[in-house]
Amino acid sequence: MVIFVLMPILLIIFYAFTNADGNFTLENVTGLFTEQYRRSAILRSVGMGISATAICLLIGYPVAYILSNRKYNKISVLIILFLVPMWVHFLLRTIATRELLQNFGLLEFSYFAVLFGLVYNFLPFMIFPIYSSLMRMDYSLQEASSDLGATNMQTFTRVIVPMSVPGIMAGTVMVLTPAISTFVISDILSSGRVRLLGDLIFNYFEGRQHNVGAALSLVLFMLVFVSLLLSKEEKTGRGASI
Amino acid sequence: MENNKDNLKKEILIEFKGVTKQYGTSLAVEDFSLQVKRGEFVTLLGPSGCGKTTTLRMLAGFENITSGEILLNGEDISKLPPNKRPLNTVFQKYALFPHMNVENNIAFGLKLKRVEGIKEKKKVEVVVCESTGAKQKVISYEPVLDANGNTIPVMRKLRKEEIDEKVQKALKLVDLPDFAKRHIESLSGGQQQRIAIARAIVNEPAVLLLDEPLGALDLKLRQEMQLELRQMHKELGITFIYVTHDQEEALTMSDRIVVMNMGKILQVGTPKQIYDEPENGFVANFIGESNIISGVMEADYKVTFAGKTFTCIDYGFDKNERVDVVIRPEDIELFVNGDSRPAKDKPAGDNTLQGLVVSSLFKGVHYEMEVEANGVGFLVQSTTGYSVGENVNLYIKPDYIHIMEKEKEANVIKGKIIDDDAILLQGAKIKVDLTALIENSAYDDSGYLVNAAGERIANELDLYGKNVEVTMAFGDIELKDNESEGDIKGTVITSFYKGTHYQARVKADKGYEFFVSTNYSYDDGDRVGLVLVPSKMVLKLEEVEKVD
Repeated sequence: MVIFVLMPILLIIFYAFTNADGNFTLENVTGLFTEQYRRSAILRSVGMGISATAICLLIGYPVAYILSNRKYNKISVLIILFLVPMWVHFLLRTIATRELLQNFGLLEFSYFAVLFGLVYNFLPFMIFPIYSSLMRMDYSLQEASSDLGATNMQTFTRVIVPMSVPGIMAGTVMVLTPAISTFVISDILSSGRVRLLGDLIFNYFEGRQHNVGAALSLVLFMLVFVSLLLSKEEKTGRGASI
Repeated sequence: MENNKDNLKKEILIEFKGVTKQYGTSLAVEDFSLQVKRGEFVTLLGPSGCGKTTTLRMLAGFENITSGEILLNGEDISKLPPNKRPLNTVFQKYALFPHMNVENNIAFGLKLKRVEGIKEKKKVEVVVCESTGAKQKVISYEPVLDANGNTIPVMRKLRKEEIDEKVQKALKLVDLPDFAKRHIESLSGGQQQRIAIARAIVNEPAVLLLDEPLGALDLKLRQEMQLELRQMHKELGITFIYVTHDQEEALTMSDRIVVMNMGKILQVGTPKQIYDEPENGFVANFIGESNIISGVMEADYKVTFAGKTFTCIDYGFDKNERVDVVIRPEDIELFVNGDSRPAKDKPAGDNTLQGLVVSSLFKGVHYEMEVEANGVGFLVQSTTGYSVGENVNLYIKPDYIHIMEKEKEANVIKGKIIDDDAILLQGAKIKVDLTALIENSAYDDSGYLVNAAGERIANELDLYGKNVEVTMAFGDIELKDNESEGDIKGTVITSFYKGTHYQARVKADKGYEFFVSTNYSYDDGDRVGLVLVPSKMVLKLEEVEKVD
């Protein structure tokens, strides 16, 4: 535990607050806010991550809902259909996405291309937690709701959605975390024009600027930590036992 | 007269008219017809899979009906979705919303409800208390008037104060007044049950449906809740439809019990009627333990079983009709010679059997003993215990002897021998093997019945024209869709699903009613041909008194 969990974190912190000579400095951290290049990459990453997560949720929830419907959930083919793309290596998938977008002339719009790539890659991570939380839901709750006078829409908004919040939270974390930290997808789909946090970290470490890279990693670490914390809060706050 | 009829109609709140539910080829509920009066407590009782829950779910609207009608206040509700039916359900596993607290669970239905009212404006005033200086919000409602100064009728939501008041009242009714803010997970099973009941009755439904609501509770709590539910039913005056497989629960709580099995109603009656006068073996067995003994009706009020003729209170059976006799274990009185029996009873000897105690077990309140008398084992419950091996007398009061028509176990058909190898049965010539009827007989090469010496015996035995009794199991008769392919032609009277196969009643054109097991479903009125498999027939010569 200590070696594999604490040590890397401590090392990152150590590097983030030292310069190339190993002396203490706040330069790396303050640079995150002062240097336009780094700051915009951070904001871009967060923005892209949140947008991709929101789009995944908008597409993923209805899909998960339909898949969990008693009419379709017996047909495992449908579920596998959403799994199969995940069996292809994501690098290959992303390169294929690039070709596809190029064919439609959409590769010019770099932001769109990256966002498309993020959503396409991470959508299953949104669908499956929601799907499993919907599947676990006791069907009699929906019957009870309708028995008490709720229309299908009211049952959806008052029972089904609130009950699937743990699934939504899990899906959000599972999409947001890799979406913020990805670098290959943005690199391939924008040909390096949309630089995200992950790209920067990669570059700094490649360029042997470990200290700046470590500071950026620390930012990423904090972002992921905060998003996990938020989802925890949400779960305990609602007292849902699922 | 006319008026009376109208009143009678008003009394009836729910009416099932020939309701049938079919899943694929199997019938879950078949031709269910029942009337429930306003304010009645009706229990659907039966083993699991008997269709009782399906019936309740069709009433609630969770299952579509395949055919028939469900009337509420005379209007067909069978096409309405559950949220449009003025009924509420208490679910088997409570189905409380885990993401809401107790208060919000109970208020769920109230928040969706719209009531007739007038358009109003909410007014909030902050009043400062003069003595303490504390500020207090005072909420009042003022009617909104139209141009002519009249109030405007609208369907309005319930106000928060109204909802709160109803929720509090419901919580008080289920005896959990301080539980409003509690989380569902923090409640015990019994408390969840009460909240589920509160959530349903707070909507003041016309009918409360309860689907085995006490099934998950332990015995003591269950008994407590039974009494409370009964009490609630009296207080609220709401019609209760209760589903259970627990006969004791049904007997304790209900005004009327509907006993079901295999999707069909077997008997409807008050608990006392169901217990004392079961109409068939299934009901007798299902409602408490019973002794079911084969007997013969000698005459009205006289039945013979266990080798002795008893006085009973049943009549109207055929002379010498074979019947089933039902006697409850607690209705048999045991005494040994020398014991004094209460004077009100008939003198010793009448309705009394001699028996031997085979086993005896103390069950806490009573002894449960097995007593054998004339080869028949009787289960007896008595507060007085007798020990194994003791000779006892069994006395059964005429009132406690219940006679039921015997259920048909096989087709028994009368026929006539018309040839060495054929009988006439229901107007059809059926080839049969008669060797089974006559000892040491066989068929010769030309097909004549011969004795061991090879002599033809039909004439000697005066075989032609003799009556035979043919017994055939339900499964040994085949039905043909094309009537001319059958030995005997007939019409299907009824056909129902028996879990693994259909059982059809076919009335032959010559009058006999055949019971046939078949894999196919037939409609009433279908013309069919019956093929009798000769090898499966059991023949018996009818005894004819010799006239010399």
